[in-house]
Amino acid sequence: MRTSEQSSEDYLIVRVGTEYYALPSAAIREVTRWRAPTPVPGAPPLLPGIISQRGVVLPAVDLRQLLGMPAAEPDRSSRFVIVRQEPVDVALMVDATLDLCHLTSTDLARVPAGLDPQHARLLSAIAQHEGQPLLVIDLAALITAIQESA
Amino acid sequence: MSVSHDSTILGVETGRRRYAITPAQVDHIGLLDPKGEPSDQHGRMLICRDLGPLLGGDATTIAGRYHAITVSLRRRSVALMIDRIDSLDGEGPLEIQPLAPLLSRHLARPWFLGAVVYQGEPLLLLDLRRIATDVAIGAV
Repeated sequence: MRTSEQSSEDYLIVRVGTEYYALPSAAIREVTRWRAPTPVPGAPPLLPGIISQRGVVLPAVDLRQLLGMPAAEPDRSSRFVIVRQEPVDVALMVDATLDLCHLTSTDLARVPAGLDPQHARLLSAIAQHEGQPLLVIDLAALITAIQESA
Repeated sequence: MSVSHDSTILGVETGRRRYAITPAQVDHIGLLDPKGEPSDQHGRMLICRDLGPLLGGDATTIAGRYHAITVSLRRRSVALMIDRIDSLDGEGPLEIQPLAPLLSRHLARPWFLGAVVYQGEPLLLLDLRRIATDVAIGAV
């Protein structure tokens, strides 16, 4: 087995605001259309409610809120990306899902030191996609950030 | 109406939202006029509160007489006013799912036993005894 194959991975490219993010495909269980979550009284804005996906109740996570972006009304391109980061399943709200891509270690660069630390801590690397920066999300760090900041 | 303690789950509408409750936590369901100084079955004055605003929603919409669910605690009874109550039937027994710890740990108050999925939508299952206790001790 070649070394380069050991360090490659598939990703789902999503848009949040005007930025493009890559979510590791291995953690993605499903992508579904956005619908209004059932609000949970007393929950922080980061966790706007619960949804039922195939009969399973999941917490919805507002990625805009987590990434420090202003709130926006969902539209026809809004989606929930259902991810599993053991032992947690969550429904990540994104503005759009765009494409699948395959990235190897040579495609990935370190997160620039100049990024806002609160933002940078959610990322594992940066790549390029069609001339745009592609921010690779570290799901473990994202779940930790939700647990800490909610 | 006295409530039989079976596994049925009831639907409650309050504050323009719908929730689920378990009859096992309820002692009485009926109409109530909170201005009439109502008392419980032991002759103690009922503490009456509108459930909708407690849950961040609107007040009950019907003026005068209210539907109320009464929860008896050791020393007091609490009547929680609601808009409407009905049974969630037609789909067989509903499975109670716990809320993810990611969410439940961050709630302002631990007022939910979990959620059930009814007609494809998740409904929060209220912990009426916790809510009634917080009302009775003046925490809310």
